[in-house]
Amino acid sequence: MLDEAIKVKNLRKTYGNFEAVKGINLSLVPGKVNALLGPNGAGKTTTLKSILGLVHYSGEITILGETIDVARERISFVPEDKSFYDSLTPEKAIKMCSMLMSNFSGDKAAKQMKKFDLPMNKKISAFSHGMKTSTYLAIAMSQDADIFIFDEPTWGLDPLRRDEVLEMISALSESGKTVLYTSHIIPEVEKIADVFSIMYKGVILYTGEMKGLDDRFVLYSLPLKTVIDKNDFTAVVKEANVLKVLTDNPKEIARLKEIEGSKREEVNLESFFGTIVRGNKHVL
Amino acid sequence: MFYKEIHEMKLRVIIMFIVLLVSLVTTVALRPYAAQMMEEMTAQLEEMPDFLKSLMGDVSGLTRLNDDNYYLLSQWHGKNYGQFLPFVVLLIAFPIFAKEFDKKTIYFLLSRKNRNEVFRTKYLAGLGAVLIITTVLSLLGPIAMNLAGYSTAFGDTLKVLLQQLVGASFFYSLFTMISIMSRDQVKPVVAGILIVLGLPILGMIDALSWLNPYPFILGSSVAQKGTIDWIYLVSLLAVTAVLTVIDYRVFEKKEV
Repeated sequence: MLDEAIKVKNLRKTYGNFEAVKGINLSLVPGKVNALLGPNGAGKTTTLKSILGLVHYSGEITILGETIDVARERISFVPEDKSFYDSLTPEKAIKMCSMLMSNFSGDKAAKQMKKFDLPMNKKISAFSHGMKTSTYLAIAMSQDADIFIFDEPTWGLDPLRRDEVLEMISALSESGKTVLYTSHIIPEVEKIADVFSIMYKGVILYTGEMKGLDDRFVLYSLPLKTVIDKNDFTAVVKEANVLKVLTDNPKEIARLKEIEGSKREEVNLESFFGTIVRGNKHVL
Repeated sequence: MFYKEIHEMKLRVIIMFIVLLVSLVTTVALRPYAAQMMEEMTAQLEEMPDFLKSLMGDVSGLTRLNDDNYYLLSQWHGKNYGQFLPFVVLLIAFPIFAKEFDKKTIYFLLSRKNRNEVFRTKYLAGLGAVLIITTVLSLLGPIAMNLAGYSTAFGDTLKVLLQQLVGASFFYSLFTMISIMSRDQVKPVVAGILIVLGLPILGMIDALSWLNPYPFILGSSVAQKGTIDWIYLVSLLAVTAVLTVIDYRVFEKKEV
């Protein structure tokens, strides 16, 4: 088994003068939900488009050890814009996909669509945004792919359907499939990701396992006047009247404890993400 | 993938067939009136003073309209159907790629199929539709005339058909390029109409007359000399081949 399902090395992508992705490295752990977390405009979608060969880029990308042209049929992709052929009914969409993709299961798609309560004989153009998203997801999840790539898959779904979709994504990794999942919704990532990367302004600021995040890192609030060297810590953020310091260095943790007025705070993905994004050198 | 392409162009093809069939029936139905009208016009022309006759130019075609074969060539291939052929091609070609970009369904296709396969299938499906429509509508001309009781041979129609097939392929490769380059469906239609109208206008300049493919598509050389314009045919085929290669290159490089 490969160590990385997808390996991205020094990926750069520019649109005119704007550098959307600035030389990132990324490795996807096989059989896990790998989340790419970042605010809008971070470069997540451009990274996915580069992986799928939809845009030109510089750098090196391998998928299951191959180029995209060889590996394409082993991938199932759900884009940010979940527009499907809206002149079709779900029934005809299944027929079309069965003819289009050798790894597509029409029965599985029909079952999934029924589970999503989609009317099988109504044109997709008449569907609500959530129903269109559900249709796309049902089709994508009915492919027997090795890698599933989801770009903001739950956008526009109601909370019940969202939870259902998140469970389906988790189930994919439980059955040995590799998932690459982008989102800007922190609680979602926290719920399903095994490994996550934080992307901001075209740069990956952090990559690590979700499990044990609060054990590995500590977050301290320090009085504003405290003198520290920012370079000693993972991230330092200056707030209204405190300094927030994030670190996983045991020596520094011991030192922070001793500072008068320091207060330890809970590390969850939200506080971690906020501190990393606001406290990195690209922002300050 | 062919199923998807055929499904998508089905409605447009049916509408086009209905419109052009109505036009064909009208053309055949007007045959007796055309002959009568030509006789009256020829008689009036004979009574005209010489200087007026010279102003009218060559009117030999009017007298030839009594000939069923010439009537079919001039009124069906040369007018009702022939003149609309580039628009028929435009209607088939413009959405083939542009619709996928416009509706963002291109992500679905290109993330699952290689560009080469996507291009090949889409291009050939559209070209196949164009060639079938051209052939069927062209051959329906003499069939309808014969069914209506006029004695019409297929020989000239087959010659014009060959020119129409090449002309339609040329327009298809040109419109496909615009379809690939566009991210919406309005621009390819507008650009296509401008091309269809612009080429004959440019062709009015003597030095650029070769830019006007209409005389070729309408079968002028077949109607006038009874022969295929082989030089124009081979040249247009070569241009079409070059345009097809450019179409592929543009699609291959296009970012989505």
